[in-house]
Amino acid sequence: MVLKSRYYSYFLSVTFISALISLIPQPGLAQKNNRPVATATVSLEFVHTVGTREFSPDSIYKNDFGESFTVSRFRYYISNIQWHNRKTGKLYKTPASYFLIDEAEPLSKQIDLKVPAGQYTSLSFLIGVDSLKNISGAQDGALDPINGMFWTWQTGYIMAKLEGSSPVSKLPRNMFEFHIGGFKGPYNVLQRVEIPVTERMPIITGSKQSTIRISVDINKWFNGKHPLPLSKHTACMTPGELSLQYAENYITMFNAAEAQ
Amino acid sequence: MRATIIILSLAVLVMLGAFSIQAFVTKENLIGTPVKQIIPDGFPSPVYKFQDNPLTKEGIALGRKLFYEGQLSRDGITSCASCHQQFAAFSDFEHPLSHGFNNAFTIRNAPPLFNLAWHKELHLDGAINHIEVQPLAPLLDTNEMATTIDSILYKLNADPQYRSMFKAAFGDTKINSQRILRALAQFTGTIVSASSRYDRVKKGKDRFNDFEQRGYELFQLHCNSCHAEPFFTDFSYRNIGLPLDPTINDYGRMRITGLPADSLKFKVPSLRNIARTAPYFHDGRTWGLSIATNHFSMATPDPNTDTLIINSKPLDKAQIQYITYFLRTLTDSVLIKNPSLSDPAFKPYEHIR
Repeated sequence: MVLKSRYYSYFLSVTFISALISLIPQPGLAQKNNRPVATATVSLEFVHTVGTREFSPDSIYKNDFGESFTVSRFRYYISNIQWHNRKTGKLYKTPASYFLIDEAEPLSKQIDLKVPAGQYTSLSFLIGVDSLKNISGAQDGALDPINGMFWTWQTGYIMAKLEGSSPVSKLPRNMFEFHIGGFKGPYNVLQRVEIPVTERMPIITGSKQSTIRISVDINKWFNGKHPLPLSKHTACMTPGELSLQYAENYITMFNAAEAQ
Repeated sequence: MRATIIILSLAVLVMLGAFSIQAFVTKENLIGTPVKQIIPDGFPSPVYKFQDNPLTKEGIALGRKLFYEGQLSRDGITSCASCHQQFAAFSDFEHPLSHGFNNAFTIRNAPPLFNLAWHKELHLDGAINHIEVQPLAPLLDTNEMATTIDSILYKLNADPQYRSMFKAAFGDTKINSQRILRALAQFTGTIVSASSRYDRVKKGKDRFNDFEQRGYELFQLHCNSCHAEPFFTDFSYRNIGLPLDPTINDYGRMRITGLPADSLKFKVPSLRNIARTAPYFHDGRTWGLSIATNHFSMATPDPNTDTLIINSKPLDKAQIQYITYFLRTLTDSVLIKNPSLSDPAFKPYEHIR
């Protein structure tokens, strides 16, 4: 009886210890226990075009109004990327996603993302930087003001920037400069672009890397929702009505060209 | 049974050990010597609480060195302190407008710097929404420090002292704009003015003389709806009927909001240290404190002029004199003389012969 009770108490204490040990917080263990969903790598590739022609920095192009122009700088932010399955209502938000796409930096035009494997019917993202990051002080990485996409005279990110020249322009060196931003009030330019993923698009699985190629047509900057010929506007550098019109134009630039 | 107790106590010890190791690890991740933000008695909770920028002795020391650093400008001489001098409560002493790189002038009077952690917006037109990003404006403006972030990074990286100070403040020698701006915010955000004679009177440690007391009563009657205690500003933007200077064409708040109703509105300035920050108003157009105090009489109202100004009763000379006596009690000699806010490179003995 004595022996039995001793074994019993050993058993009790061992159980107690195991219970206690399991209570010790162990970083990283929680995720392991929640059997993770297989993740897949998806590359978003941004291909800049003017109309149907692939963009090259030295070429002269014509917009829909027949005005010829060249582009010296083309940059925009992609942020808050989300993956949707509109049939099942499934939504995955890529965490803390801020990317600066710069025509002059080939590496910036491809974004590699980890996404839970599955079928998605569309992906969406903001063109620009959400308002929260516009009011949260000094940032780093893609949001570092060193990238020249931050207004210092009035706090706020430049969401998209297009600079170049056109014989139509009466500014020095025939230049045009559009710095589009504004994150609050009636002239908030932040808009979400949704790119449909067609039936032919891949089921994103862990087994192979998928690429979604997104074509970005610079011509739409001048003629998307609003006709904004260079003969009318060659500069826009402050938040306001004109900025908003350019923003409503540039969200129409984005189209899924193909996926592999 | 005894064995059970021993095993159980051992288990508890193991548990405690595991937790203390964890605590130790977290503690080790902290960089630098923590500093508590000073919130003076009677001040509300600040807007900027150093949430993502934990205050440390090392961070403040780095910010202070950067604040006095001429290398942050294109000409290598102009620092933040060039136009924000401690003895003038961090305003630009006797400068209506400040001059920066290549003798270029600013369009506004440099504001004094204190109690910034309580400001929701900065600049006289509220253009800046966060204390951390404010320095980018003077650093990059061509009429102020006229530099680039690239240039600043190049100069600071070349200086071993800065590399070690960034390491002490942030854990490694990486220097980027975020760290520079956060260090500067640690310094400027901890400049607090709450030690004037007025503050001592409020605490019962001092007394106003009769003139000052009379002035305080007049102040409460005529001034404090905009210059509200304890900051002596309500942080609002108001048009006080000062006509546009056509050589500057500064429409103030309207430049930011685009709203015609905001034409010629500027942030109500704090009256703390006002006796040290002449000349007055957003463009430094007026020199005397008593003349500035009487700004009601200078108003040439336009449709946006504040009704408080339009409906104000003119003050007589004696009343204005009393008010200026009171305003002088707002000078914070502790702030102006605090050695921990002065240029860390300044060696007084080198100047005494």
